[in-house]
Amino acid sequence: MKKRLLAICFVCVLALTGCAGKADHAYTTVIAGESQFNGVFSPFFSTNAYDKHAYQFAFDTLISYDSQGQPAPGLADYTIEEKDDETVYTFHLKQDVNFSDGKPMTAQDLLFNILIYCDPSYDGSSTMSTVDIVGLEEYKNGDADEIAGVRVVDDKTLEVRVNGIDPSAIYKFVFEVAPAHYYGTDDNGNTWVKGDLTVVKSRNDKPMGSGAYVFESFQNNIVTLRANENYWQGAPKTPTIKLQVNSNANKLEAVKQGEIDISSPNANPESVKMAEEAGLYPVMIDNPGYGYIGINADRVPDKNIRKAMMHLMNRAPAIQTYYGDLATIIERPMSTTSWAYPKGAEEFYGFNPEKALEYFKAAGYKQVAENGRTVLKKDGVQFRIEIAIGGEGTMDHPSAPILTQMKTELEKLGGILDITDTDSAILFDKMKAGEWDMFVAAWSATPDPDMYQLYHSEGTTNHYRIKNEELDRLIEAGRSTTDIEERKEIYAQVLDLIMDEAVEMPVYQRMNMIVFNPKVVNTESLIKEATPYRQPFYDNYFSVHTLELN
Amino acid sequence: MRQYIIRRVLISIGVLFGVSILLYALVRSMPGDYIQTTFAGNPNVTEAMIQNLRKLYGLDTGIVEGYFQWLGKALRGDLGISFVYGRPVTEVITDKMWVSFFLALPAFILQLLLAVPMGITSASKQYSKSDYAVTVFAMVGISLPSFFFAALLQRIFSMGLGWLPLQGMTTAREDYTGIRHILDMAVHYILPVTVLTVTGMGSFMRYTRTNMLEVLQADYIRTARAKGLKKKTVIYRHGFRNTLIPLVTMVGGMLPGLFSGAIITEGIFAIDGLGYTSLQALKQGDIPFIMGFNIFLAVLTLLGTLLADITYGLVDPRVKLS
Repeated sequence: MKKRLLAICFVCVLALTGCAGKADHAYTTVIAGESQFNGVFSPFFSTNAYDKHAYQFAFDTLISYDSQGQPAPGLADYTIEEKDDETVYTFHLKQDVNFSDGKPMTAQDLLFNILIYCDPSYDGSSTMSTVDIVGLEEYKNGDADEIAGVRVVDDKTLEVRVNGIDPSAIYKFVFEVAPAHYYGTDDNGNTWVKGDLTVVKSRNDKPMGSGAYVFESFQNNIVTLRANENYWQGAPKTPTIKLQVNSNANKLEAVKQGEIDISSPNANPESVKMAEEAGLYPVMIDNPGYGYIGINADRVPDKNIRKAMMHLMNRAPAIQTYYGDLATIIERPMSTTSWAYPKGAEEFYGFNPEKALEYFKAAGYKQVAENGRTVLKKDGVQFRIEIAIGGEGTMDHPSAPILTQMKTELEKLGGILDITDTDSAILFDKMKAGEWDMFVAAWSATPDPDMYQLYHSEGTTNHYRIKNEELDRLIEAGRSTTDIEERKEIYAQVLDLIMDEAVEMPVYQRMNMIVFNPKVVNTESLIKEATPYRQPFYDNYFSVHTLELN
Repeated sequence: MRQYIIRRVLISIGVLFGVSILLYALVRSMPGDYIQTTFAGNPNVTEAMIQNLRKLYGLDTGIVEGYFQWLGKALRGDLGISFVYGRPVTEVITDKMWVSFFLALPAFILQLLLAVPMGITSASKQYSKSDYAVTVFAMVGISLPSFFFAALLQRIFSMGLGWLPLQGMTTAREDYTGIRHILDMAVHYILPVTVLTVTGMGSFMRYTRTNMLEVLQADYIRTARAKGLKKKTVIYRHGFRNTLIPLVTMVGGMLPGLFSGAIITEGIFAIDGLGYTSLQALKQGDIPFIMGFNIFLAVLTLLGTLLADITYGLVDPRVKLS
């Protein structure tokens, strides 16, 4: 009798626990595969995209990007006002936000972040210190202990004044807001001082912010993040996020095996097919950046020769072979992910060996017959030019077939193309020193299309050594207004001019892929329209807390 | 003996100096430096910023000046802060070397346990079928590239049969602690240890075989056989004990090397060991780490050879160290 009563009680308790509580999820942890962690999990000092993936979920950003890469409100709303030779940026924290340790976020924290980024001894990758903020010069190179142009107006408002007009400055404020009380003081009570960021660096292994997740640990090649129950946008639906180091060769396999749920293998037609055949959910995203072939205008000063070489480049078949449908040929030296890319821009230099010959002739070259072969000569010297490509010795590069075809076509005309297949570090070193005639490289795009550094005669990364007054003037005009439509027009002209100078042939815009395991991840809860600025899962800006697992 | 050790240590210090000079000169002469590799891809970075960064990272000095700066700090035990990892180099090395050690140690033990008996069998039955079988197996083991063998094992045991995890050090999906955690790590280590064992045991086996053959030619062995002793006693009691001498010295010499890490295997199986760590640092021109790590390797090598020589002196009564 007693036993039966006990049994009945037991069954009732079981039934009750079954009814109580929310719907059960089979999975409580989502695992993402990353290539490697350097362990610098700090918004200030990380230089590795994977470290950033690990800490980003613990923070929110001051302002953010919209899906097209234009600035949008984040934790703060902002206004931009042009007033007496200065531009005034006012950031206003929209609501009460607490960091995950419970302390509230104020404008003092925002000020702290800016002071760190602008510190004279700051050695991270943020370029905020290149913005001409009022009083920054005295702070960086002088004795000032404050930046005159950065002012806390009240608990929730920060004002930043910049000299002149700089349309790219607003982008520098897309940063993760780090708490001053945690990053400014270490565990032993030491506080940071201007010129010595050791205290801030002491937090490299344990980031803390206001984000949807709390960084728990990094051990055995796994970063563990737990949901921040007090997150201001509501507790995240997924209790645990883990990021595990995953070698590149196994990125797709590991997802198929169920060891990880999200990963970013190289996007090529094979891997996409494999992902789909395995029943996985691949998302394709345009890569913010593009590949190109450049010519050094100092070493090849005759524009006719440069135009001739451009007409010997046959881009489409090479890219089709390497990337299939996963890359597009672009016609202007700018990533198509940028809002400034002129839609419908047409081909400037088609593959046309006859036109190339015309340009060679215009440059003074003649075809002569020598020993039964045609030789392209000027003043008794055969035309010879060198091109460098980072194919690591095996010509493993999407643009490699373009070069080999160029070589053959040039030979038919009577010239010589020397292809140097080298290591990327050497290629880049010599490119910077201006020692290649032609080179194959790629740029990563920034949200702001300003290309001063690349094409202005005073630009520091002007590898093409362009010096065109009209171009300089237009580039300067493009960065002295914040009107989007005006800038679009200016940049369309700039890009046309650059093409006319024949120093850069834009080749391809490829795609990246993120693969999800639909068995674990509820793919309905992912962002539908993926752009580089709004990536599913990795777009922590205000959406990771809605990620749901099955 | 003590004099011998002291003298060897002094010589080692001299060697370390020479190694460090050579290393520093080589590393600084490499094309591309950390600043370039890390920051140059960003079109917003200005020249002024690059110069400032060069100064902050100590890359704006000449090679000689830079070397003495490094030496000054190194002599006080400060190997600098790693550019890539943002932590003191000594910290990074001491953290990760244990991971590499616990991967290499089981492989090392297994190699010995398998290779030595195989070598002995091979030598005592020279030119027989077992000898050829063992030799071929050893050759295959040495010749197999580790990445190929690793991929093969992964394909068979992980993707194919699903018996073992594909990679990693632990199962990320769970939060194991205590014994379960250790067992979980052990299961994850099965494949990488297999790779290291199979690719490494060939040379042990050949070494044992060669030494054993030499020993078996000796006169005292013939005497022992003539005395009528069982073959087994002859081989194991008389022959093997003398083979042990070179074997033990070699093992002693290899012990320090167990900390240095296996670059390729660690990379494929995503194990956070010293090998993979140092490869990343090398690719990015992380001078403090490269210097610190290579000096560490040099110290290990010198320690290894010293250990080997000392053990020789201890184990072989014929050898006198002076």
